Amino acid sequence: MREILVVQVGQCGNQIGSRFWQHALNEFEKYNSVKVYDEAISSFFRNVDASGQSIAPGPNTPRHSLKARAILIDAEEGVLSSIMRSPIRDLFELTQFIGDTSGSGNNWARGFHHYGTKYHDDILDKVRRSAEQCDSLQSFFLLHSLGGGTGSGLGTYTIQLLADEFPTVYRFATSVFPSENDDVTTSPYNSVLALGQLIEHADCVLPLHNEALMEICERTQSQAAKGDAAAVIGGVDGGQKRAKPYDDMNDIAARLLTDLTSSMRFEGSLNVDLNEITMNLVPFPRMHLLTASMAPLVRPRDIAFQPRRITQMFDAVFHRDSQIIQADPTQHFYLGCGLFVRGSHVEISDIHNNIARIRPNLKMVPWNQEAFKVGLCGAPPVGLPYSLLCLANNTCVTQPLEAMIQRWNSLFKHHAHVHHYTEFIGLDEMAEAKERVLSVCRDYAEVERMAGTGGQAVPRSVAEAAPFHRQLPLF
Amino acid sequence: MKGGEVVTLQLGQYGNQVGFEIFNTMAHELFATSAPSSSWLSFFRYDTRNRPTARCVLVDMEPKVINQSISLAESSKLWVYDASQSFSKQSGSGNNWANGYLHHGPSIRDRFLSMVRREAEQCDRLSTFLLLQSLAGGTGSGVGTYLTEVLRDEYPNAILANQVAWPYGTGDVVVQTYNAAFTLAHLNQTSDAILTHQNDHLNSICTRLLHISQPSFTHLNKVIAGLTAGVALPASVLCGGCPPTSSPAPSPFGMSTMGPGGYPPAPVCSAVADYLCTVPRSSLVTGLPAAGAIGGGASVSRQVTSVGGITICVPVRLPSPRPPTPSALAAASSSVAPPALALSPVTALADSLGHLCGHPGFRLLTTRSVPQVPDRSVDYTADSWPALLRPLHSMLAGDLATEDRIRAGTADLSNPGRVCRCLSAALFLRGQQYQAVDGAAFQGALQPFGDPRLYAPWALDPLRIYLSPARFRRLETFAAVVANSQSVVGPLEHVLGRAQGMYAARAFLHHYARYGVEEDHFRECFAELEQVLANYRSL
Ligand SMILES: Nc1nc2c(ncn2[C@@H]2O[C@H](COP(=O)(O)OP(=O)(O)OP(=O)(O)O)[C@@H](O)[C@H]2O)c(=O)[nH]1
Ligand SMILES: Nc1nc2c(ncn2[C@@H]2O[C@H](COP(=O)(O)OP(=O)(O)OP(=O)(O)O)[C@@H](O)[C@H]2O)c(=O)[nH]1
Ligand SMILES: [Mg+2]
Ligand SMILES: [Mg+2]
Repeated sequence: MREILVVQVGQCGNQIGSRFWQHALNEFEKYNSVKVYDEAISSFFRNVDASGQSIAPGPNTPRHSLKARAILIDAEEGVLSSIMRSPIRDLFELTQFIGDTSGSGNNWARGFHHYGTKYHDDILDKVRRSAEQCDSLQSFFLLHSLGGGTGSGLGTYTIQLLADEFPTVYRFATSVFPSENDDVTTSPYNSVLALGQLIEHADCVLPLHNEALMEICERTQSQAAKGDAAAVIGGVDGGQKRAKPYDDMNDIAARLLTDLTSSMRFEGSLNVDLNEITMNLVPFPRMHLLTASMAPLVRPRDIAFQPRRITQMFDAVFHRDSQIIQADPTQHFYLGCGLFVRGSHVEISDIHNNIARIRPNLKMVPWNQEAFKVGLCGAPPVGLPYSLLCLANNTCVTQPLEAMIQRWNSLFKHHAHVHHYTEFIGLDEMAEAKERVLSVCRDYAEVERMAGTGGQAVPRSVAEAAPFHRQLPLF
Repeated sequence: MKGGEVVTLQLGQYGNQVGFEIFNTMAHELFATSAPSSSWLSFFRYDTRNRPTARCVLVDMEPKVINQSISLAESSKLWVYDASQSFSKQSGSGNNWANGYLHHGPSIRDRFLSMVRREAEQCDRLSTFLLLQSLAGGTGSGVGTYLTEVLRDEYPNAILANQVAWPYGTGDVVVQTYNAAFTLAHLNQTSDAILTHQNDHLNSICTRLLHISQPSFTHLNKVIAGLTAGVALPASVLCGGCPPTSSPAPSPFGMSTMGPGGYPPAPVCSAVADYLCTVPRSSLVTGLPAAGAIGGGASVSRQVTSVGGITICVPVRLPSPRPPTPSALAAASSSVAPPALALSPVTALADSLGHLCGHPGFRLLTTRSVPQVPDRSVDYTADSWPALLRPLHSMLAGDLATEDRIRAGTADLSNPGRVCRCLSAALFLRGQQYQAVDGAAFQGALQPFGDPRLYAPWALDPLRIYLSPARFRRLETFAAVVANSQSVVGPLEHVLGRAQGMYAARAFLHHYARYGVEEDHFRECFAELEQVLANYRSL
């Protein structure tokens, strides 16, 4: 059994989490209608019988009450209590919640230091307990936003705690970047401070831009409205009107998570375990921000298995419009590119034919001209015959980072809001976080510069700092 | 045939998917239609319920693929895996050779050896371990390398044959060239024979010859299975005019011949030369450009020489037996009685591998077969031996992945720069026809394979021919050639070049360092492969 433990922190993290758990349930309804508790389900859910015992998975194990492998954390009660009233409330036990009443006031430092210290033992205790319920814990998924205080501060506090406590378990962070016209004025501080932690303690960061998500949603909905599409795929409930404003956007994030983990859960002819993501897409320590894109996001009316549709799907993930961050990877250099297909109608030769077709339009770093990682999972997502997830390590990722630094600078120039932070941290800590983000930007810029000249690139982080070695028992 | 069993080890996703297809193909060949004869016992045994069971140990670091293969075999209703001979862990090797080699490998050593022991105990005379593994991932490459080394220590007399897949040229795994370089460098030290397949080539066989528009891994694996079964199923060695007793096939356990510095005994091979040159001169000389092109008799005298510090026997070049022209063949067949074929007793995979990999610096083998036809066309395919062997010869000499009937027969050996030179080759001919056909035509079709220009000048009795009257895939005629040849130079250059480029950029090194593979080790492996490349280039 290979489990994933989701840690959802703050409003955004918990709202994305809600959609994710709904998606996960729907997927298992589709693939396991006989109500068996099998290994695939066990990755995300425990199986708890009437007496409160966890039952191990098996080909004939009946499904009792499913409990999400998740820790839900927020410094406010609102979102957590609405989850407790939602249709998926039975997935959670009270012991999985950590809640407070007053929020972090959009202050990373309050989230990190105040709540971090306050809930240190509680978080550790709950995570340990959940980890003990796992047979072979593969990965932590942190769901959070960078712009506020709790998800950003307490979320990165948690990931640092996980790095200390579970050094061999991979840590993926799904991090919602604030929009430029975000209502949170302090979001640049929060984001940069959080990124400083993520760069150090996460194995892999998947940035999501709310603007990008919003544009994608608008486009898919207008396609649906024009009748071009039968359904918006993000919508689990098939394009009905949503209760909450963020639901459509969060569905895309949820789909990213189910697609990313599909190959470790379901059979396929070329499986991709989560540990392969960093191995293939992170050539240098700390340069682990991956841009994502997915296709198709709508279900076309003529959903036949035409080669043309498969070709379109490959074109789409390399198109600027499909990116869930606001940047265009095709204008920049790929350090690595993962193409993960779901569905039984796409074959390995389709993937390689499409790579060969698209490859001339992409800029690859000169030292890795064939930097593709391919996966082929037999089980398509709910509502589609096939799908494609593209994860790329691309130098375009510096654009949102640099934009964030600029916004930090224009705030900091006037020392705006700084005193809220210095209540908890020193200016040096702020400077240090900013420097970490800048140094990753410089590394990417250096790779791009050297690639542009056709030379070999040795990022500073590698040349100067010894690569971090995670301690592992070797034998 | 008793003894000479092959125990197969399926490693990682490739190994377990390809392994299933190989056993399935063999099962269909061996006992789908006829009652099992003893010949299938080299790859199968009976389980307690009397079902044919693959002599196989299944290993992966994740559970899904093994489960899939076991249940596929079960549903074939023809054969099964012994599920107790399988072992998986929970998280794969993450495409990291170091993780497989230094972490997972040692952690499963004892479990693995006890499964292998159990399998070995059920063999009469275990001759060969066949390890199936990819080069690109982490389990097949890393765990596979480790387990090969373990087997070498524990079973020093067994032949270790590793069947590996070169990854797609477009890129499958970003770190594929590192993993491939580590694996090949290590196997070069431990393995007896490395049988290679290129996914790109398999793909073009599927699209161009089998007319499959979207080849899947299953399609590719069926091709691999055909190539593997085509050379691994029992066959007799062609012994020319020599009585079989005077030229015994080397015992599978005479494997000192495979060891470093060893060299296989030659009588069978020179018998092939005898056989190929016994075509009556009078009939062949007609139509050949230079008189005297066919030398007197087949006597091969040898000089002892030293190449790279290793003393070897060098045959004085045979006069080239040019491919006879059709008119010459017609003349030969009409006027001369065909020479009798003499065959050794049925032999196994071990014999051909012993012949092919006699020299320690040369372990990489490439397999090709003809015809490659869709299943539905098999019953309408009936090639004469010359029609079949001509394209096969072009593929061998010209280093082609797929046969080309249109341009076949034009293999030009006169330009040494264009010839993909071999150190050794093993030709397998299956089908009922060969006894029935015109002996001289048959012999004439074989002759180009004995052309010395195809081989390194110092290669000693390089060609061995295996025959089996049993049809393969219901085909009237089937031929395969396994060659130890320059065919591997291209893919090897590619892997080494890419890996070195990535190393110069210091990319991905931290993932390997995490498991204890330091930079020295990269350089050592690169140096090892440079040497292998130099060896092959020098042929
Ligand atoms: N995509 C998406 N973004 C959200 C969602 N909720 C909030 N955000 C974004 O998250 C940022 C605000 O962070 P929140 O998650 O609300 O803050 P928090 O972590 O709860 O922290 P505090 O409220 O300060 O305690 C803004 O950039 C919002 O646009 C959501 O459900 N989906
Ligand atoms: N021909 C063929 N190639 C395969 C097959 N499965 C995987 N490959 C190739 O093998 C390489 C990937 O290696 P895998 O065998 O999947 O890796 P693994 O040994 O399981 O190692 P990890 O997954 O890293 O633990 C790629 O080059 C694939 O193209 C298959 O069934 N047939
Ligand atoms: Mg909040
Ligand atoms: Mg694998």
